[in-house]
Amino acid sequence: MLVFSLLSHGLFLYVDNLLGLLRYASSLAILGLGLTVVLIVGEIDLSFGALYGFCTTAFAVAFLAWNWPMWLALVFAYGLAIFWGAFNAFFTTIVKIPSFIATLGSSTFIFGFTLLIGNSNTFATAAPPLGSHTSKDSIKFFRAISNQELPAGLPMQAIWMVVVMVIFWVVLSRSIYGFRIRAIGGNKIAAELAKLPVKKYKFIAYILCAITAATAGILDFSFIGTIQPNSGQTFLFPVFAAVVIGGASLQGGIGNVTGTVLGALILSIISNGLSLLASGAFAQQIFLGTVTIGAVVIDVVLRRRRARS
Amino acid sequence: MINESAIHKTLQVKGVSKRYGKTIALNQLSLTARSGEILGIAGPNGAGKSTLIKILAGEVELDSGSITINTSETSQSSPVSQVAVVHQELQVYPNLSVIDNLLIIRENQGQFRPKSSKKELEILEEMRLSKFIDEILGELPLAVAQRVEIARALLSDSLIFLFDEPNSALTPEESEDLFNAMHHLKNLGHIVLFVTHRLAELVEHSNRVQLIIDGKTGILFEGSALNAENIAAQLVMEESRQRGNQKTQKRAFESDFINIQNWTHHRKVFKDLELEIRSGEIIAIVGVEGSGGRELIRSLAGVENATGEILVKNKKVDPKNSGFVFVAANRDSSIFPNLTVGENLVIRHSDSISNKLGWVSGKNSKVLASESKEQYTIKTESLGLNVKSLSGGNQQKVAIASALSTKPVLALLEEPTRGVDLSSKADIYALLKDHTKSKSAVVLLCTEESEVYDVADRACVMQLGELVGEIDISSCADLEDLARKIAKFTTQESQTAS
Repeated sequence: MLVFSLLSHGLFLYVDNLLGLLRYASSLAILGLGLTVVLIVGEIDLSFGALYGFCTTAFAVAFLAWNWPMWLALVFAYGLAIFWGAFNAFFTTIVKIPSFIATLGSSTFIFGFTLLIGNSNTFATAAPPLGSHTSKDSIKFFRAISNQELPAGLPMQAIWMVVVMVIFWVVLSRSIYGFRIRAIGGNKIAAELAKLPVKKYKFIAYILCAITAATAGILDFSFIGTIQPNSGQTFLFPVFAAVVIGGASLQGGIGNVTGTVLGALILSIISNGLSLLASGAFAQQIFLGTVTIGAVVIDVVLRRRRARS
Repeated sequence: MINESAIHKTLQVKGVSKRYGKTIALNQLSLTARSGEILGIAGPNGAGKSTLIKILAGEVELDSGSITINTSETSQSSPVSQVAVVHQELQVYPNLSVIDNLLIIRENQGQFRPKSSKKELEILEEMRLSKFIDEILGELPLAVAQRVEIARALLSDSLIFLFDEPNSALTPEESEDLFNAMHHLKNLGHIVLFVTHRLAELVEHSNRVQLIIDGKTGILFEGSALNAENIAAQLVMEESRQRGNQKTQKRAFESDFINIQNWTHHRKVFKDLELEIRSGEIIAIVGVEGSGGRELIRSLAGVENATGEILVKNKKVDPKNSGFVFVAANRDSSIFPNLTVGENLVIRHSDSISNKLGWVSGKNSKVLASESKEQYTIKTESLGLNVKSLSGGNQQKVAIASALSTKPVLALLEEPTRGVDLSSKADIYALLKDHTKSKSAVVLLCTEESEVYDVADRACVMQLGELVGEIDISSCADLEDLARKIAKFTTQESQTAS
């Protein structure tokens, strides 16, 4: 942080900048926590970016175009999140396609449905689609979920991030689910031979990941006020990088909540710092690629060293 | 194409030693194999047979000693290129046709794509592969693929053929074909080495059998001394000399405990098996790879599919949900390497460490883990250490303890002391016996007679998917007696089968 402060002649330390950074970090962290669970159980999910766009668009359509009450639109969006999570899990655990391919495919598939359900439209709370008669009050209420003044200008999203973090922390470190997914990711064969509920727990992992994607998307929509079908796609690499920096292993069995949240903070600090310094998007992309490959290389090297000792 | 038959050749292994760290795998091993004969190689698990094969095949470097091929006038160090290994893990290309698998090794002879010549066709005929010539290898049975591998080795002028447990996954008919190919190689004047646990087949097909014990050269069986019972007795005698075997005393058991009926494996490895397991009993299923023993144990545990009935105290139970526990022989399949010792010990528990909502009680887990540590004599400085930091024997105890501590009515274990030091071995036998005191039973898959003798009350000998005989261990005079009885059952069966 010091480096960026000096190099950007103090620009980095502007309160607005830091608060914006914290908001971005919150989105990364919420998405990252779901991905962490999937990585711990020994699988991978590349579809959370598409799910972010799909669930948020589904919510926007139900809320703004179909004039559903907000709670029902939320139930609709989360219901679909659960469906897609189970969809991913079905292809990885029952059909037994490698999860990398299964979720790469489903992400395109889901994006197609996003375009279908939203008619390829961008939705904005300030300009609801024609024929919408969603009340101004309920739109105001929705915007207030993550776009309201807090003391010291803290972003509301950070509060939500803390809520999600606490829930995930409890689940991962205090529940039998959190305990056993580490075993499943650590040694799938041994888990199957010990008759641990491998499939069921993988379903839950994918569903949790889809739910965090919907949560991050809906919170961002509440803050920004617009949702485009492809909004979530840009999160794919930053979130992966954040989770891997946070210490989760792509080989399964290892990952934790505080690591992922710290990874999200570190990643958003560096990427924000870079965007203040560099003139183009290239620096960000190069940085993300470097971080992702670098973190995975470290993960592999560490594991090899452990195996040898 | 083979003119070696005219010249008599020998493979001379002289004083070969090989160490892996502290373990001595081969210790001044010597043996001689002659062209035109099949030399069988026998030895207990871990005796160094596989190290010898790896050295001959050039996969592993030897530390000292020499391997030479001698003719009447010349002597040359054995070139790896002349050695072909036939086992289950084949080096063939499953996506190519049979003929392409042969052509792929040919050097480019100015052809854009090599065409099959008379030589290839002849060898295919010899190996009775002609009818498969254009079929994709991956779609053919393993037995055919093995013969393709042999054909390819013939084409590349291999002199030495190593058959390493070649037929453990083959049916009797397929095995017969493979043995015919093996004898054919012998008649062509090649040097053939044959390694198998199946003593009956070893005796039937080998001209001489060389014993390897503890990495050293043992007895050479030939002529009238060459029979399965003699070899079995020798195999165990050496072992019992090293450690005083403790036979299980006769114990009392309760009947009507667990009954297995019409038990049929989903791949039909065995059909309509019946087995009674009495309360308090330790049963050893004795069977080599391919006998169906492994499948029996795994299907009873519900980790492989089978149909039939399991009755526990006359009540039918679902094998997938029976509460029976299973521990695999290989620690890679029973230990969670990313978890601590304590976590490994409690991983199979749910109700005793968590409440109905699924929240884990840290205190209960700790208590349970430390109880298990005491009860199952696990030597570790702390339960918080990574499980991989323990010795192999202690890791094995952790794997077994995590299963037994759930107090199952039936525990099924594969080779529970494979690769384990002697003191841990004794500990494991003690804790298995201890476990059966609490209205439960243990079924083991054993490949070594000494293990059966040390821990089991009853041995059920399995061969080619059939339970061919039962031996009450308390009725055996000594380990040698047990080994002879087992050998008798397995040889009788293979004679009636073939």
